[in-house]
Amino acid sequence: MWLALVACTALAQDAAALYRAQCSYCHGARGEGGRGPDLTTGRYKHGDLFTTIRNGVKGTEMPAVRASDDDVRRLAEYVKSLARVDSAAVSGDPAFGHALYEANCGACHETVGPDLAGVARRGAAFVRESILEPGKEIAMGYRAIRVMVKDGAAIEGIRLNEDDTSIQIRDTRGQLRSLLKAGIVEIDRSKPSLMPSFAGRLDDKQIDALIAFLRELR
Amino acid sequence: MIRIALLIALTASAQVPYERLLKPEAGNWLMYSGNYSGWRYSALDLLTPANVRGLKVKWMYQARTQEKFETTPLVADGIMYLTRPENEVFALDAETGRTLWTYVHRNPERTFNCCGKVNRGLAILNNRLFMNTLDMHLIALDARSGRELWKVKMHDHEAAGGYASPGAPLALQGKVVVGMAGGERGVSGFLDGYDAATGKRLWRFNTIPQPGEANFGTWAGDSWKTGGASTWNSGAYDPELNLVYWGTSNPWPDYNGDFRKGDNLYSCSVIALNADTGKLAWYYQFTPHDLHDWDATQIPVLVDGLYQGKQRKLMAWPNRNGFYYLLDRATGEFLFAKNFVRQTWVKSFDAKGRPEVIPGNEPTPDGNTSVFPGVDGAANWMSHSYSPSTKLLYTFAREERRVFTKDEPRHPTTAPDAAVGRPFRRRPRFAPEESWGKVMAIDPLTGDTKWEHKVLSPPWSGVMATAGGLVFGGTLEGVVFALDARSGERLWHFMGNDRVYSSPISFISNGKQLLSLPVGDVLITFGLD
Repeated sequence: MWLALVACTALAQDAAALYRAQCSYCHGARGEGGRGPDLTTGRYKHGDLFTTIRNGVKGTEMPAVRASDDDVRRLAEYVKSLARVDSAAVSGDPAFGHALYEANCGACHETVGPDLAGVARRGAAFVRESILEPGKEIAMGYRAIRVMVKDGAAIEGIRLNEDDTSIQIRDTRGQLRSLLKAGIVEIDRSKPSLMPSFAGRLDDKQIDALIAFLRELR
Repeated sequence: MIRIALLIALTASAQVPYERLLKPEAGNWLMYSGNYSGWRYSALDLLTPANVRGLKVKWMYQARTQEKFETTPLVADGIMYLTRPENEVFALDAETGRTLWTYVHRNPERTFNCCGKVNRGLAILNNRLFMNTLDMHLIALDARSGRELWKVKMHDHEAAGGYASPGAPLALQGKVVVGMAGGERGVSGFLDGYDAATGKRLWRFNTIPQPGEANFGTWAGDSWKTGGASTWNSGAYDPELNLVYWGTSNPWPDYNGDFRKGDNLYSCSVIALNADTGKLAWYYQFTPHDLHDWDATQIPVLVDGLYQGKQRKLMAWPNRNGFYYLLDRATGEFLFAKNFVRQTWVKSFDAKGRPEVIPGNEPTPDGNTSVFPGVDGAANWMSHSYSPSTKLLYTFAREERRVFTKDEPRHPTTAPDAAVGRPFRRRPRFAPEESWGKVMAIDPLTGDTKWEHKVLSPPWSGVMATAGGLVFGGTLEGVVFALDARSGERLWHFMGNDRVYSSPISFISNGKQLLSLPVGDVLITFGLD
């Protein structure tokens, strides 16, 4: 039994490693999506996961994954596990959490920040970490940037796109901006998250309440 | 009257004898690199720093492909010939982009390419076009009609872990030289020469010495049987020396050298072969016992110059491993190496050009993130360019932070459920500013950098210099640009908004200089009004 458990754990670790190697670049470290679709919803547009991973999806960027059939099966199981609800008990009061959300989170997360619906599927620990250390893992497509333009103004926001001649930003008020680099004095990328840390601003009880509320936002 | 004129034009277009390949006219683009020296240089001077800002889209060719569009078109007397993935050939009117004929080679459903079902272009000789395919055929077509003249199988594409042939062939006098891919799939590399008239194979050079051949024994145990060392890009040729120059790929397995101890000849090398016999004249190995997938499959650039007081036939080579090399191409003598991007793996070179390697740069099971250059290298397959006007070598270099993960070697196989090659190539997300690209102008005789033009992302485009004093290329974001060849200043750009995975060409149509480059799955041709 113990041996079986060890083997099982090893396989799960292996599947996680496979996922990191083969999938995370497009689908995100926790399946949150990015270049590829969000895998935490439990809904798979192309049907059977094994076939999708084995053969890829024609006409899209999803390639056939180069792995053995066994590995593909394990990958499919792992992908399914990304959508499982985190069942660990959370003691917080969702109503209190809702009030905290409205006071601290909604203004940004409903304009420039990532939509938090479904974020709790990634687990309470992840949400707690994101509240306390928001710069530790930046959701794909939400890298912050600060641009100084020639007239002295500074524009802060999310970098939506960039090339050698221009940069596109959603600023902190949610406005879409496109700036030609010829008019830019400096681009500051040193602070990759717009979100401030709530360490010292929210206590454990408040964070538990927020997590309880976010679970209801699925 | 119009029909007669067209007929004459088509008939005229199909005659590209070897003599024309020896001295390609400025208005045509008759081979992958523009000339045998691998220069990717246009001798046209109608586009200049003074007028390039007026460059506009003239026509577009819609390839409609999800695969990377890596082709280099050929242009001969008003007709453009290009390939579209997987192995389709199109003849277009170079003035309008309108299709004249098409040819389709259908590969089996499973082919064994490492990095997309791509093709990089054709070769032309007399009235024939040559294309190699992902299922290891070499095909000759009638350039006037697209009719298939012969098709030969180069090798069993399902052998070992799988063979493919994506690079452009090189046409010489009466023969065609063709390479193959499979360095990620445990193949045994070779370079072939074929009779252009019949398709008969004239010679094969094994890029891994077989028992009884010179230099056998640089691979531990039986690892030589599956050592890779493929020849997946195109090469260069010196007609006076009658030597073909070709770069070779990584040894297999890519990131794990435990089972292939030794130098692993002739992987990560340049080989110089007699064009008539395929016999080895000399070789130089850039990266002995490579562990980083640093293929030496860049296009060789042949230049002549005064080196240490003596006029010499030279070979300039910005390599994937981060070093710029200058070799004597008559003898293979190593002259010097100098890094052109950040590098962490070489302490010094001895007089023969063997690197003294710094420990700690090996791939690790958890991933080594402190090795430079990155896994796709400082240079890759995209073309460098040499301008005889400025006497500068232009390269689109990659500065990139990546991870090197030691993988578990598996027996090469093409079984449908098998994983081969690099199964766990982890790609953590480093901050975007940790990687970038730069067009560099390098003095080939000294390795000194004259200027750099930085771009946002490590590129997959090559560059082309022109006699008009410009350097063209494209970025991963789809910015097609013209730089001043003497200063690196960007003079013109066009937003193509998709990845550029090829290198530009230039030619004349109706008396005007045009420029063509694939952007995304569209070949865009630019010209002045």
